[in-house]
Amino acid sequence: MDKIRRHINQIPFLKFLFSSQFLFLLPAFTLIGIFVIYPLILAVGYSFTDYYLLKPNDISFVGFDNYVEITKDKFAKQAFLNSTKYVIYIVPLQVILSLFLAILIAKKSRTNTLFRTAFFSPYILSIIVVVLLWKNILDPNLGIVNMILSELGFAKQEFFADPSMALPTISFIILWQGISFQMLILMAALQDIPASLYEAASIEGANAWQKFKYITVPSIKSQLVFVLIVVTTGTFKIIIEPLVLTNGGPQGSTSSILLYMFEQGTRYRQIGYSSAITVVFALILIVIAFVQSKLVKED
Amino acid sequence: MISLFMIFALILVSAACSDSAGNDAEEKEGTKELKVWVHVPADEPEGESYDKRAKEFEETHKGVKVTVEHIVKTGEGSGYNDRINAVITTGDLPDIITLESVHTASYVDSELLLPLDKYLDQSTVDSYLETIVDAGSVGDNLYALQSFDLSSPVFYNVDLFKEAGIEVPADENGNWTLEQAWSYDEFLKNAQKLKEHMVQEPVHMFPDNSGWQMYAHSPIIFSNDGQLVGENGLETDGYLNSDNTIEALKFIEKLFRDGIVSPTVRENAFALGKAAISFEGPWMVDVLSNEYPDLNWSLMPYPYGKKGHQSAPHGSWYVSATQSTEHPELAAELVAHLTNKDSAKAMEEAAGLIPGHKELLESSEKYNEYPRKLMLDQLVNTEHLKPKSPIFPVLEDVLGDIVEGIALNNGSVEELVKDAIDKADREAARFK
Repeated sequence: MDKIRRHINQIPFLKFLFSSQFLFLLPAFTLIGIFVIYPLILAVGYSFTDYYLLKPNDISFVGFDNYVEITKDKFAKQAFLNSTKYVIYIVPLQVILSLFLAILIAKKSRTNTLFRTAFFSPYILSIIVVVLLWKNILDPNLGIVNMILSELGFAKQEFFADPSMALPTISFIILWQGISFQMLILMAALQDIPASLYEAASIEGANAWQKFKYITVPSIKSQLVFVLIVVTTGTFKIIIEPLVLTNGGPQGSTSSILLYMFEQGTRYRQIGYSSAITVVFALILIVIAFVQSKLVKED
Repeated sequence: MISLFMIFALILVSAACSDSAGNDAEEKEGTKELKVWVHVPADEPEGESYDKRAKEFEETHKGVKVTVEHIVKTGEGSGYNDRINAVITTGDLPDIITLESVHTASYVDSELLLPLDKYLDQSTVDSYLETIVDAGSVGDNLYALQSFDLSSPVFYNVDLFKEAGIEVPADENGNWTLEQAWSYDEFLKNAQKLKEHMVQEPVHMFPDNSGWQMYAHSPIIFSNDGQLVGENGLETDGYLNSDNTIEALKFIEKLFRDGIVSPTVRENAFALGKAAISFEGPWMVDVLSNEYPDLNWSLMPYPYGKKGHQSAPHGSWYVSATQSTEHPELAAELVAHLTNKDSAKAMEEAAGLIPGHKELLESSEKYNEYPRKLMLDQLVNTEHLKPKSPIFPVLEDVLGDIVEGIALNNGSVEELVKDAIDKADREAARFK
């Protein structure tokens, strides 16, 4: 027995498997295995088949056909491009604005507590509630925004029906809701910076910008990187907002990768093709995660 | 150790659940159980009707238990459709399901539905309106039935027509009948008059991409002898870009370019007197009567492209038996019972829907008087060429893309049609 134990102790992985840590992690591993790993393996498998939802017993292997199809699919390309646009519109603004708000309300005071609650409230609302709220606010006929525009003598705007406005409008709504959570993370990081650093900088004659550049940013770099990556991957995964507000329209201008995948899988029932899109999408996210790990390492 | 215990407990719980589910599925000795899935809530007239007819069926068939499950359709890819997709994958379809009539072909292509005509006698099938039998048939077999049908009317504002000096065609009783429908040219000419009088878009059509385009606006194409797809339901090249189809789409384009139809949705435009003509759903008959009693409205026939090819919208959700049933004869009988004359009568009384049985139509007070009679005439006497295709969802989307593209002036009709054919071809290739 001792011999076996000694052998196990020599191999780190086996040692881990027989440790109490592993037993504690097992429920989480099991759930991740069932709900993440297993579906991902299935998706990879299906992506090489012509699986059609209404014919689950009639599946053929088609090799890389589905992947080749993606490269030819104009609408898939549009969805990939739209997702990139969402990232470009949302990520920089969300990081900058959440940092700005975090700095504004980081100091502990009664007024700031009120602001924190106010700023954080959009995050606790369900996405559907937020989406429907903004749909009403921006309604061309009955929405308050268009009423104000009309009163001021401006033309009413079709925020969701105009292809050039729909994607920026949806980006704004996502930004509006998501900013509060990122703000909270950065605010917690800001509160961990020792006040003595700022005091010393003041004595040395540093101005506000210099304090921000040389003390604040380096002190919260890890959290900034975290926020950047979470927002980027989260933005790539957008689906509910365009689905509910525009169903990907007008003319596919607001469709995202996930929405296109969802449409192919549930509406057109092409599980094989939909799975191939999922795999490509997963690869994109893996690349982002890889960049993240590099950035954190450099930090 | 705790973790191992938890896993063990989970396995036990799931085993217990699956065991109880298995027991549920098992029929009690001597009892035949039929499961019915419907997409409507139990408190709506259609949902109430299914429950009531199911009870009746149980009473007249000893040893048969019918369970109706209401799984409400809440949107695209949600609720009801999700459940159906899931059970198709696991092979656990209930005995009877409801489905959109236009999706019958794809379900038949996948051998999921039971041919009802093999189990129902001819007189039963003959009692339904031909349009219902036709919509529920694929090839030589009947797969789906319904107790009612929807025929969408075109509404017009009588006062605005008078003010603009438009003379409404009428028969000797003063009714605008199907035979007197306007051609595309007459429609455009009169719409121009209305536009000059109203100084805004006089016609209301929904311009966005939705299933509404296929339901309500595709008859504009069919009435010009155009088609969306070939006989096999897969070829769009040669059909969607045929001269007749392009001509019909250019008629729609002209409506938008000439300022006759607004390129953006104008909610309630007709009810508020901001549109003189409106392509709306049949449910608006009751809405306008009850909520806008001062609005002087009537119904006009769909405009047509080529003489002799009049077309109008029709279709709704139908009831089908599935190949999964262990009691095909009983299931087919139940489909007929759920869509019988009593159901039709109840639906006409509750929601004003056109009863789907010939016998009832003859005695229907509502549908033998104008303007409702026009809806019935459109349903019974016009062509219905909505595609019966396994790629129907794609065809529905591409037609929506084309009309939305026309409304937004997002390219020429020819370019939009070319894109649509490319998209439809890619999906169709998977079925060839």
